[in-house]
Amino acid sequence: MALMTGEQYVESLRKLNTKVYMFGQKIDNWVDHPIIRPSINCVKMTYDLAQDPEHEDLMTATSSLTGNKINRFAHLHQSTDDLRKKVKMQRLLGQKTASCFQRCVGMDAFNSMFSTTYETDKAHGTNYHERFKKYLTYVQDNDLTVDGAMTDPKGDRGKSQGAQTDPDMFVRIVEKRADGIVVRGAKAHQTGSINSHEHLIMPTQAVSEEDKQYAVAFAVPSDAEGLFMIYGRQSCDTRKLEKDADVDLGNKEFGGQEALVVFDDVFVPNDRVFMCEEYDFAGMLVERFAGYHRQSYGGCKVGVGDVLIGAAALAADYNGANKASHIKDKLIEMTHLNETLYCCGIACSAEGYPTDAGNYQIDLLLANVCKQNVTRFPYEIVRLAEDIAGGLMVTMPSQADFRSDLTVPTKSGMTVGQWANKFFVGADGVSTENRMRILRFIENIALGASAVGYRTESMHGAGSPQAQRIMIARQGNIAAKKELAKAIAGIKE
Amino acid sequence: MVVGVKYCGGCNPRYERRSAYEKIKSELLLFAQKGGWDIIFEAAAEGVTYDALLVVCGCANRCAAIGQYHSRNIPVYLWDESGLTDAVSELEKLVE
Repeated sequence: MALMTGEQYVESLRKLNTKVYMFGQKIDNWVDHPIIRPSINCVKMTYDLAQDPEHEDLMTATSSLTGNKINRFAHLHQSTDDLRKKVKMQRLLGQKTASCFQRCVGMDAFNSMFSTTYETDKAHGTNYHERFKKYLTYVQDNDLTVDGAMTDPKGDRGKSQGAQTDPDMFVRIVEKRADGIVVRGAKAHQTGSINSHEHLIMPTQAVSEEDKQYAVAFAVPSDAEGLFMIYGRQSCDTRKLEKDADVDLGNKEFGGQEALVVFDDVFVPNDRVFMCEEYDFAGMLVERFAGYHRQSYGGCKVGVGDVLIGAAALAADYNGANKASHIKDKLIEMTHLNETLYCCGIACSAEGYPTDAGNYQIDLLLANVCKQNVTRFPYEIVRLAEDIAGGLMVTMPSQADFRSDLTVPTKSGMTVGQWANKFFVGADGVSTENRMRILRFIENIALGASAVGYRTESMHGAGSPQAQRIMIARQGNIAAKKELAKAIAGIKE
Repeated sequence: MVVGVKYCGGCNPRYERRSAYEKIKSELLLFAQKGGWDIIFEAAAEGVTYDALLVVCGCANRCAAIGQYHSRNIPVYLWDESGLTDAVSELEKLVE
């Protein structure tokens, strides 16, 4: 099958029997649900741009498995150039959606699973790598979106998987059959899970021998029997249910999505099982996925940052403050921070290397530095955007007020809309509505629905800050640095 | 003359690639019309041999992959608006 168009992707979702719950209700037509649809539009963009001659160079690649043209989101990185193009593609998509476009978790899972299954087979004599290649060929040939799912609910963080009061706090094997396995548990915070055709499940952390039932990796269709999702709500999400609220939404077209994905005894046939109790490779899979995903943030958040910087500059124009030197300096600072993140994404890609399986891995130290910066810089960028925008971004009346023709019974006889437009006008020649639109856009990213993706996801997605610091400590090679200092300082011991 | 047009992916272009390409195209069409030549611009496709390949890149990195395309002449690159005149000149020479 050729690459899907965006419309074909949306239609393909309708054919799935994905079970979705939200606000305590089962949502049957989730594809057209106003809260969910913006997140589908983001994934749709990954298909649309692959068809666009102006962007296909980043959005597509040649499959190392089949030689066919595929969407880059299903590609195994074959070079450092591929790793760099991944980051560039993510920046592009961030620019086009100002949101999380969700499809990178699958790409990062494919690449980490490909190399880990290869090394697992070498150590254990298993056949996971060939199984996985067949599975990925199916994904590539059908241009599927796959949720690479790692994060378990984890329960008591002070206890290991098997020591939890409820053993379901981590996804585990509850039954091994001749034809497959039965799994139980859940994956939390799953980006784009509902919008995915398939789920590719990985362990969330290293596993000890005594907990080996938690060392499990597998793929299932999103509508598998026993699998369902509970939608994660976002700040200001019900604004999407309001009529004629496109100004108030800030970003009417696009948005992110997270859900709890529950496995209530789901059967997985053998050809879709890629780890089954090989606990000694769980840590490798986690570390590689996390490394790729920490690289990803050096692209996607930069793209969203590009839009936010543009919005802040527009807000300054519309407020009539664009000539102030401190405004110019803040825009420079925002750009500096944003491009620093991009530098990290490009650097860890340029320093990548081939795995034993042949696909390329990022430089782990630089990828962790990348993500560590992402836990901080977007917060400063958005703080500066709020500074430039002014308090009106959170105090202005609603779109309904600006458009109201209700007369206020005072001397002037003006409508609510006329009053609102009179007092919230900005620079000469700028419509009040355009000023409201850009301020609402900034509000959406700063503390509305898109803050999930730009702020908290920057903090905790692909691992919380401390997870990167642990990796930086492991990779930082302090001992060698001490020797450097000793040599220069003339210390002999 | 048939010109295959290839864009880079456009992650962070430093100028408006599409409008720059449109300027090149309109100047070349005018030039060809005056000289009585035919010139066709089309999105570069694999398996086609072009008289010229115009590669429109957003920055000096010029990361567009062109190994899969065939051209009878060396590719003409644009990566900066200041290079627009040179790109037009190079293509004009090929038209002649």
